Amino acid sequence: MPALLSIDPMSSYFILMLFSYSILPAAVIACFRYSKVPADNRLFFLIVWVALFNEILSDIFAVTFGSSAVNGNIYVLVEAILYCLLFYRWQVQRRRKYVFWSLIGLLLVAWISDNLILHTVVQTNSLFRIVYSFILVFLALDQINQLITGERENLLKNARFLVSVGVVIFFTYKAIIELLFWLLPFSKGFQFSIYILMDCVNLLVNLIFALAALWIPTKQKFILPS
Amino acid sequence: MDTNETKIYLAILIAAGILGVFLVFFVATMIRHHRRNRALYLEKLQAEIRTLENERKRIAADLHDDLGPLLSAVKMLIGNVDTTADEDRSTLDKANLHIDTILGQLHVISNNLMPQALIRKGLIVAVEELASERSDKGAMQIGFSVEKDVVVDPEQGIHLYRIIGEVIHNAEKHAQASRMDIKLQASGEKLLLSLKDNGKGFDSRNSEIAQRGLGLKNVVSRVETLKGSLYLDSGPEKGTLYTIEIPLKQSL
Amino acid sequence: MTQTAPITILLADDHEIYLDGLQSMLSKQPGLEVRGTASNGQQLIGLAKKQKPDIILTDILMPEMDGIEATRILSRDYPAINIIALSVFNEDNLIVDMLEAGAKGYLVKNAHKSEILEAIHTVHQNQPYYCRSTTTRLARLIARSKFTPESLIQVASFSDKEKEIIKLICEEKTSKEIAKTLYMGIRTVEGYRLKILEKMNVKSVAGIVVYAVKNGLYKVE
Repeated sequence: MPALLSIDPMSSYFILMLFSYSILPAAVIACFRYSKVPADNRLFFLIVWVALFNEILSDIFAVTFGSSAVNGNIYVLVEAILYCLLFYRWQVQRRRKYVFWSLIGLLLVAWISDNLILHTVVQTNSLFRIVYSFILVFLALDQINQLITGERENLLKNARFLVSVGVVIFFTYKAIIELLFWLLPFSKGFQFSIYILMDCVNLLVNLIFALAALWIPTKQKFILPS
Repeated sequence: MDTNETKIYLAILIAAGILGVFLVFFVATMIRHHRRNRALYLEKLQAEIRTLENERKRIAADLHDDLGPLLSAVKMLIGNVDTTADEDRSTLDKANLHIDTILGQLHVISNNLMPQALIRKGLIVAVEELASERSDKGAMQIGFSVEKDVVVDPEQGIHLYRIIGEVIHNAEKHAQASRMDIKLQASGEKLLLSLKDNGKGFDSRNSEIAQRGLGLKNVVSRVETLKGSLYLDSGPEKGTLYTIEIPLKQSL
Repeated sequence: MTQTAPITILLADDHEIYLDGLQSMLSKQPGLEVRGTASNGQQLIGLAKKQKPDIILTDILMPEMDGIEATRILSRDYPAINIIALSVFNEDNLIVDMLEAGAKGYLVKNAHKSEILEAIHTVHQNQPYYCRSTTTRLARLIARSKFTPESLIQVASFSDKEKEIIKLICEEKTSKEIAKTLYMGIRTVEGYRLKILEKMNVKSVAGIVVYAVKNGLYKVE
């Protein structure tokens, strides 16, 4: 039996709390560096803050309404659009507007059909989460490939690279898990255990994001579009 | 959780672990290859530029030290011809005029290839000369200020000189600037070169840059060769500021 | 005509054909005598020791020892010898270096015969000579350099009007422009110009600029 499952509910809840607020370091760093970085990178700080805001909101809603499904469903839509915009802005080469808009369109269609037509917004819906996880992983992989062919500085200190790696890791797991939940019915206890696993990944990614927030260059280094 | 679910959970844990290992390996090997590739690229670029500069130096020296003096010698010989016939006189005068033109062009060509001042006196004198020459000839006034006791390594000097030349050219040709200020200073272990013009400026994201093409590309590769970084601050109607930061190499 | 002693000359250049041309041109001139030629700085110094010429015309860029180094040594050891630098191109820095090393004047190599002769005679009278192709920029550079021949430091007094015109000349203004700014006729300006040249005992605009800057009549920013 994995160790995590044998922890008593109270302390595991506490660990979960801690894990979910691991976005805090990145959010704090973002506050200090916001005014110094170029506009393209501020979007990333915005994403971090929105994530933190949602964590707080989820806790409030969980206490008052007993469910954070509504804000969670809205949050994933906001997050998806922000990430799309971020990767679009980070496009080194020619930006293609129609790709961006069709992605946004796709996301909106998926969200509406998942939350308004097929299901209701008050339950946690998987379909949209699967779709946007896939899209974000693709976008991040594309970004990474651009960087390894075009970038000539150290990748490990490159905020764009770190964020992309974080997105790939987090949303790969998220896609797998959401897909699993969608296809197979599991008990509540099982789902909870899986979420603990997800929170471990979340912790790792949030630490990477903190590094990225720290290393986002204050000045836009000039890269020639090829 | 029933036993069946526990089994599945374990399977998921294992799968997640394997996926994690793959991801870590993927990223690690990517960074390693990228780093190696970068080093190779830089080496190649350096070799290319060094060959180019040596070649330029050689051709400039040939023009400047051999062809130029020979031509003036020819002119001298022609000048020694004493003739009273008006027709011959005017032919000789024409020949002399042509030789003067050729000499002038020779000087311009050899100076473009490799300025004598740069080789003999180093970057600072060469840029002073360039700035005053361009200010005299062109529509753009160029100011050049150097922090005291900045010493530039000769090889770095050549690169920086080319960068400055390229940026001046851009500002004149594309930005229609009327004023440029060049500043060279050392801060800590770094050499800081900043060039600011009051021209049209451009959106650094715009495809306009691509059209400016070769010029900026050359600047970028020179900066890379110097292991430095280039920052561009520009916007429509607010001019352009180029900041170049390179590690200071103490010349021996 | 009385037979005065000819001006003795040494030539140095690493290009033989230029040397030959110059030598044959100069030796045809009355009152000049070419005593020998050298193909580098080292040879030139050796020759100068033996011949003690009045004038040396030397190239700047030469193998073994360049003209700058040779000039430095010669003007230290034999200050009586007046040296004229020969430059292939109008190269500001080389020329300034030569003047700082002790040369009294300079010429571009494609200068006309008459100018070469003028330079020799000017320098022989201990006056600095600036090549006719001198730009104002070069003149300013020379003015700022350490080049200070004695003949430059005898300040004649200038009227206010003259001072004003000197300033404008230093700013590269033509007679026409000066006339416009000062509300004078061009002829008047030309007259002033000649007077200034005479007072300064110089022959060209470059001479005016160098004189003016050296004596504080014009300040370079």
